[in-house]
Amino acid sequence: MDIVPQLVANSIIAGATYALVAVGFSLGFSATRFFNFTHGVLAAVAAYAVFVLGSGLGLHWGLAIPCGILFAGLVGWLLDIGVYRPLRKRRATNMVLLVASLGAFTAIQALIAMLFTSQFRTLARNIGTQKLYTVGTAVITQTQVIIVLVGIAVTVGLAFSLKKTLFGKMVRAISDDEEVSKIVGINTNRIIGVVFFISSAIAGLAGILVGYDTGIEPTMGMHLLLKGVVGAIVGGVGSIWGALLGSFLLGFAENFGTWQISGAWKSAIAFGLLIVFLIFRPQGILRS
Amino acid sequence: MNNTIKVIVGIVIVALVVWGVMSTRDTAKAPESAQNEASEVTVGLLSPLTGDVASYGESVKHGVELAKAALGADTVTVVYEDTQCDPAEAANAANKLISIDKAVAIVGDLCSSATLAAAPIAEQNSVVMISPASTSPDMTEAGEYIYRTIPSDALQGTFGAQLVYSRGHRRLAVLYINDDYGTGFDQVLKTAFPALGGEIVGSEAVDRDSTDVRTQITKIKSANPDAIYLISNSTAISVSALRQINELGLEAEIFASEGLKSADITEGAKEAAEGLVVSSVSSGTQEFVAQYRATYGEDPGPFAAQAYDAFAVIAKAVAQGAKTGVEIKAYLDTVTFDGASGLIEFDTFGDISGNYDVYVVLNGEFTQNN
Repeated sequence: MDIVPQLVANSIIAGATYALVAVGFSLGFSATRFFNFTHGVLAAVAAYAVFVLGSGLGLHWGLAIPCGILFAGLVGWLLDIGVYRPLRKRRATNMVLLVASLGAFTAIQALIAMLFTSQFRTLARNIGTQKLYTVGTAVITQTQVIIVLVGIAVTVGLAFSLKKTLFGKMVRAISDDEEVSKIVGINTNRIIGVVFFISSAIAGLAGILVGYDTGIEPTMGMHLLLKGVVGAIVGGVGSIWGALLGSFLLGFAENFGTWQISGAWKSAIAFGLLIVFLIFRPQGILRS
Repeated sequence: MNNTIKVIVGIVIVALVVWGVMSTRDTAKAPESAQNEASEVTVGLLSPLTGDVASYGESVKHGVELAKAALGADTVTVVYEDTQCDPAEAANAANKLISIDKAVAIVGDLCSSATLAAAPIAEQNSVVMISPASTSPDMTEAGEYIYRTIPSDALQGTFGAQLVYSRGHRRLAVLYINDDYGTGFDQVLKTAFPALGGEIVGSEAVDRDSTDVRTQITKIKSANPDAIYLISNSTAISVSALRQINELGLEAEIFASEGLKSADITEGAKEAAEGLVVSSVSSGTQEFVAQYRATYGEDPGPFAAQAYDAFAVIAKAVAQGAKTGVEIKAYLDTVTFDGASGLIEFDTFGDISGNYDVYVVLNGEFTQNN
């Protein structure tokens, strides 16, 4: 039974990673109401940007990481202007937007693979000499502590700004009804553009942290996206706190499931959880 | 945008895509000036030219190219197909090579799962298939036309078990990738190690491309092994596992299968790979290594020598006048020669025997330690 603290630590780390992706996805979904595949590849975009700036150009991480996050946000914003806004203008259905996002996802992922090859790399410089923290019998590295703290901080920050700031109110208005928001005088295109920037930046942050903790490869986006989406849906799509809760639930289910059953069933458990929720409680844990 | 501009942009994009596809088609076709003789034989190459294990695909491709140049196989056309080590892609590519390119022999695939998916297609069409890297014991029964120039894991598993035992360990845990290769190797270890007197204290599976192996390692840690065998053909899993074993403070000697004998691993896992013991098939005779270095400027990668031999044996069959899969198979069943990776002589199942070398990672380099 003394491996339970370590399992709990593993679950929290996994949950926080998924939460970063889920929270950004929920934000984007609540504003635009379509399943955005590119959310996943932006994690890879930011991670590779940090790779180029850090390892390639030798920039200090304190500079490379914010640049990577901003770059991901910028790419997300450009995708909105270039791909989604024109489609929205023509009243494209959510299906069309989904397919467009899938196309953009595939193209960007292939571009990254062509530029950097598919070799698995890591962003971390101090492997084997990282600071380790011990909590009871559980061991956790410094990067993992950062992931957990950042995950919670981002969620809290986002929930707070959606509730209290004017921008947050406008986003919630658009999420309720885009047409009426326009009538009321909100510049929906500009706000949605900013939403894309923020959610892409958060996805980028997730990609960078995963890059430091394990590593980067061009296909990392899909895996993160799928787990983040499961977390978001289980928690209640559109709700920021729900995304956090759902992701942690997913993290715990996967790791305790691996303990009791086997590692080979990890993905099956994750998607099984999703199916159970979709059948019995489709609105998720928290209603948005 | 008005309609004309849209049409023009559409045509430009389609033209760009078509041009991109045509210019990257990696076919080594004989020049048009040579007569398109009916005696020209087509051989296909199935390998992961892109994807997680693209570095293996590249070294195999080099091995084949080297063999083609060395043996002067001008009547043999090689068609390259990228399978990304995915079983579905391998099956599609095999179909394409056989029905469209009329290949009579195929070198490939690398990953056992992919080869096993393509094997029935080759078997049905009487096309010879020689894998330079698929080691799953299941390949032995895969078919009459299925051969390999690398020994089965039934042998490497036994060798691995003996290696672990001879270094004084009695409690072994296995961390393996959840595909034909991993499960096959794991099964062999489960019989071989106890037979020597040791104990398998834990055995955990990992899905391909997972980077979070923490809980599997936590389970293994609680079983107190003194050695761990890491069986993986995915760089993502290998690097992540090595790092996380180090982070979680699991004190045990780590052994690994030949897929980990690659610079990707030492670069990715850095200090976490120190002391890693890898069992590996031969990287080639001195002659082959020198030839490879002279042509490509670096040491041969994993499976290059085996790929060289796979192509060489087909080229030799063609030089003797074989034109169809049936004729090539007849030659393979009786051939015996000293290839770049050792003695090439197939048994009744299309397998070969082999020796293994032991490498240890010291200061970030693989040093031989037999």
